[in-house]
Amino acid sequence: MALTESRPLELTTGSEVVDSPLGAFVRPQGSTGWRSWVTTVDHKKIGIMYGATAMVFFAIGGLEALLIRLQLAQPNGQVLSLEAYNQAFTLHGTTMVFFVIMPLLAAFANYLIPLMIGARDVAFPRLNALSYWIFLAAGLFVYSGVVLGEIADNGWFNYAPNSGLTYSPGHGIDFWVLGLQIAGIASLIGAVNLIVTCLNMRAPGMTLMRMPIFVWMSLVAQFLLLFAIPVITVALFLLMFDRLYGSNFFNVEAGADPLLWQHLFWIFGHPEVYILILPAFGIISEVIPVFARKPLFGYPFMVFSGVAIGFMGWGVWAHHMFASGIGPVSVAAFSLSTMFIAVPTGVKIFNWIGTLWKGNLKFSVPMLFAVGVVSQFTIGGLSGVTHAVAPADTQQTDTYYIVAHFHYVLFGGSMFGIFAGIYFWWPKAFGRFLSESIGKWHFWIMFAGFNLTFAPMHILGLQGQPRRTGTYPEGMGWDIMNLLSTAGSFLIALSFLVWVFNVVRSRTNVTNDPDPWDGRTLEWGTSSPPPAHNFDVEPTASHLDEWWHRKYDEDENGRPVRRESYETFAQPGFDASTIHLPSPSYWPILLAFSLPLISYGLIYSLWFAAVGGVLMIVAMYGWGLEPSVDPDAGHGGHGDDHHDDHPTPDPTDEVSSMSEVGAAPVPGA
Amino acid sequence: MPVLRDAVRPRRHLRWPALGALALLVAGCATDAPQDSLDPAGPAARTIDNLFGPVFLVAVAVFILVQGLIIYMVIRFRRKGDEDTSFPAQLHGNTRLEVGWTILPALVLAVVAVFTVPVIFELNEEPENALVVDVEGQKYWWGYEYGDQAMVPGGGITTANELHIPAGEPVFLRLQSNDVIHSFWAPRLNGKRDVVPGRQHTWTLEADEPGVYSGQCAEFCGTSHANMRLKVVAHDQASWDEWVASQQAEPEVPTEGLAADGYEVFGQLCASCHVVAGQYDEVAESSPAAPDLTHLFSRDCFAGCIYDLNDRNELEAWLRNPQRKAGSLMVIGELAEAQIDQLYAYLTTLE
Repeated sequence: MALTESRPLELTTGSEVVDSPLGAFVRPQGSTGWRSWVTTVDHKKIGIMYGATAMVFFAIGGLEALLIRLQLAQPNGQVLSLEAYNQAFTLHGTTMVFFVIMPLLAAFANYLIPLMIGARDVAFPRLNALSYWIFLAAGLFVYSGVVLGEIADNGWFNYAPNSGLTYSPGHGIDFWVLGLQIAGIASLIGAVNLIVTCLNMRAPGMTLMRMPIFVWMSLVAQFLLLFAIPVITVALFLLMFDRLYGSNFFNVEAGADPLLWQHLFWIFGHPEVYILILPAFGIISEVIPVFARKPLFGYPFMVFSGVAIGFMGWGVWAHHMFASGIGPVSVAAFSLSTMFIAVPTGVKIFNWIGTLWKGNLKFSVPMLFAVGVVSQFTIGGLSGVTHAVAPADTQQTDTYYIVAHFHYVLFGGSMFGIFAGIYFWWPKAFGRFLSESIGKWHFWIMFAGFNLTFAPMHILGLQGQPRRTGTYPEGMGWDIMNLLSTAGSFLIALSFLVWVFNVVRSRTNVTNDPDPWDGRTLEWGTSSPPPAHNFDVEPTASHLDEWWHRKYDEDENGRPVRRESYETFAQPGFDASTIHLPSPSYWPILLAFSLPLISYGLIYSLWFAAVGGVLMIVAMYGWGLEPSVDPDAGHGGHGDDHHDDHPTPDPTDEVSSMSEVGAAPVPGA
Repeated sequence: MPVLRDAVRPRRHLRWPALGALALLVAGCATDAPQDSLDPAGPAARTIDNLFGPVFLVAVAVFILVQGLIIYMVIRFRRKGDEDTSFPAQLHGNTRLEVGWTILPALVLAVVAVFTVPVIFELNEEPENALVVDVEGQKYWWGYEYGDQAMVPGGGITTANELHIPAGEPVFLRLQSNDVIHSFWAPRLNGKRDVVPGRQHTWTLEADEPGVYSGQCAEFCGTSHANMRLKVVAHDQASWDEWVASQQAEPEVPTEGLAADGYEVFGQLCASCHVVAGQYDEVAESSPAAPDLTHLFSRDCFAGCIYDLNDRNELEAWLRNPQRKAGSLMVIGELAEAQIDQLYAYLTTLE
C-alpha cells in the first residue's frame, strides 16, 4: 500500500518528501516518513494527498482523452477498436468527474476551510482521513478493473437497460457500479464533516456572513453532495441488485421502465454539476479581489446567488432528458427552470466584472486563470441557455455541442479555477512559489489548447456529429474541425507537462513570506506552510476579510492605509506542546480498504467479501475503542476519549467545540 | 437561410486573432454537411432553427458584452509597473446594479421562454392525415413497417435502414425498441426522439423537397452505436407510388443459375432470421431481429446504412465476416467462395 500512496505524493512535492522538509510535510509531533502520511488526521496533509492523487488521475484521464481525440482525428479512425473507444470515453468521463474534479475540490476544501475559518482542524479529523482513503480505494478499485480487462463501456451515465447483464455481460459495469458506490461513501463522509466544520468550528466573531466566499461556495457544494449522493447510491444499488441477483428494477421484459434510471441518475447528476463548479467559483472569488486590490463586489449577492443555485439545481434535472419522451408539460417545466437558473449564474459573472472594474489589476498566474474562468465559463453558460430552449436541445443533445458545452463549464470553469487556486495557495501550502514565467506559459498554452479543442465541437455538434461515436464516414463535413480539436488536445497535454515541470522546479523557489499576494483571509496570517495546529494565536474575526482589516486601516476617503503594526497568528518560538491535536490512526486506511475487498467478493468470490467484512468489523471496533487521545503521548488529555471525535456543539461558545477537537495531546511531545 | 449564419458572417472581416479563430469556425459551418441541423429541410427542423437563431443571437450579444468588458478591463485597468500597490476605490457593491443585473437577464429569459413553450407543444402535436410508419430500433439498425392506409393502400411493406416517405407530407413515426434505448435523428428534418424499450414514442417528420436526408442513432446503444446510421428518402408523388407498388410486389423465386443455388443456400443459412416475403416467411422464434430482405436491392445501403450496397465488394466482405461491423448480431459461419457468389446472385434478384 505504501507504494500507492507515495507515488501521488511525488507529483506535487518533487521526488523527495523527507530529505528537504516542506513544512506541512513534517508533523512536528510525529515521524516524517510514509507512516505519518498513512496515519495522518491533519486536514492539510489530507488535502495535499487528495490533490496529489487527483492529479495522477488527471494525467490518466487526460491520456484517455488523447486516445479519444486520436481516434476521431480523421474519418474511419483506426487507432482504437469501437469496443476500446467506448471504454475510453466511459473511463474518461468517470475519472474526470469522480476521481479528478471532485477530489481536487475536496483538496481545496480540506486544506483551506479550517484555515479560512480559523479552526485547528475539521470537526472529525479521523473521518476526514477515512474519506480520503475511501476515495483512493474507489479509484484504485475501478482501475484494478482496467488492469484485469474489465472496463465499463456504457458512458459515464450508464443508461439502462444497456447496463444490464443481458447487454453488458462482462464485469466492467460491476467495477463501475461498485467503484462509484465506494466513492460515494467518501463524498458523503466528507460532506458531513465539512458541513459540521463550517457550522460549528468558525473562529469567535466569524458570523456566517463573514465567512470567506470560498468557504460559502464549498459549504453549498457539501449540502448538494449530502443530498445528491444518496440518490445515485440508490440508482447504483438497484443496478447492482439487478446484475448480481436478478432483481428486475431495470429489466424491461419484466415490466420495468428504463427511464427510472435516467431520472435517478440526473437527480444526482445535475446537482453534481454545481458540486463541480461552485467551489471553483469560490476559488476565483478569492483570487480576483486580491489581484484587483479591491474587495469582492457584492459579497452578499455572491453568497445568495450561490445558495440560490444550490436550491434551483434540484429542479432542472430533466433537461438532460428533453429527447427521452417525457411529454411536453414536463419538458416545458424543466425548460423554464433551466432558463432561470441562468439568472443567479449571471449575477456571479457580473459581480466578478464589478470586482475587476476600476481595479488595480495584476496579472499574476492565479489571476490569469481566474479571469480565464470568467471568460470561458460565460461561453459554457451561454451554450447552456441554448439547451434550455428544449426544441433546440432536441437537435443539440447527445451531440458534440453538448460535449463542447460541458467542457467549457468543467474544464474552462472548474479546472481553470482549480489551477488558479493551485498557483494562488501553493506558497501557503509548501512555502514555495510556482514560477510566474513558467506559469504564464502553462496558462497560455492551456488557454489556446482548451479553446482549440472545444470551440470547434460547437460547430461539429450543430453539424450533426453525435457524441459517443467512435467512427464517422467521410463526407460529413466534420473532418477539419475534428482535426483541429485533436491538435488542441495535445496542446492541453503539453500545458499539463509544463505545470508538472513547474511543480518540480518549485522545490528551489523558496519563500519566507507568509503573505506574498497581500491576501485577505485568515490563512495568510499564519506561517507558510502552516504549523500542524494552524495558528499559534487563535484568530477572532470582526470583519469579512478579517486578515485584510488587521493589516489596513481606512483613511477618511475609505482608502486602505497600511497599519504600522498588526498581530499575525504566527509567533516565533511558540511552544506547540500546549496545543492538543488528535493523534494519527491506522484505522481509517484499514477500514477504507475493506470496501474494495468486499466489492471483489461481490464480483468474484464471496471469500474476498468475508475477508473484507472481517477487516471492516475489526477496523470499526479498533476505531471505536481507540482513544483519539493517545494516553502514552504525554499530557493526560481531556478525558472522555469516546466522544472527542464528536465535539458537542455549543452554540453559545464556539471556542469550546474548537478546543474539544484539540482535546488530544500532541503525540511524542 | 439560417439567421445564425448571416448573423455571424460579418465577423470574418475582423482581423483580431481571437476572432480570426472564430471566423475559421464559422467557415467550418459553410462546408457541406449532410447532417447540418442549421440547414433545415422540413417544417419541424425549420421551426427549431427559427427558435434557435434568435436565442443564439442573444447569446452572441451577451458573449460580446462580457468578453468585451473583460478585454477592456484587462487593457484599461492593468497594473502599470509591478511596484504600483496603490489602491483603487474600495467598492463593496451596489444594490441597484445587483437588482438590475438580476432582473434584466430574467426579463430576457422570460421573453425567450414565451417563444419556447408554444413550440414545445407544437412539435409534440400529432399531425392529421399523416403517413404512419412503425419504426423499430435495435442493435444496430432501423426497421420500418407501413400498414394499410391512404398513402399505402394494402400496406404490408417492411424495410430497413432507409426510411422512404413522400415529400411535402407529414409522416408520423411510432417508435419502438427491441432491445436498449436508441434515438431516431434525421437532423435536417427534426430533432431527435429517444426510442425506449417498453414504450411507444411518437415523432413527426416532413421533408419539403424530394431528396435523401442523412441521420443516425443518437443515444449510445452499445458497441456499434456509431454504425447505426439511417437515411430518409423523400419521394415526389409519382416516384412514391412507384416505390409503394414495387415494395408490395413479391420477387420471383429464381429457377436457374447461381441465383437458384443461392436461393437454396439462403434457405439453409439465412432464412432462420431474415424474411423474404413469399419465399421465406417464417423465421425462428429465437432469432434476433434481422432486416427484411424482400427488396434488399431496392436499397442503397445495408448493415446500419454504413456500407454501399451498390459495391459488390462490400456485400461480399460482409458475408465473409459480419463482425466487420463490431457487435453485429449476424452469425453466418464460414462460407465457401462459391456460396458467396451464389448468395450474391440470389440477393440481387430481391429488388
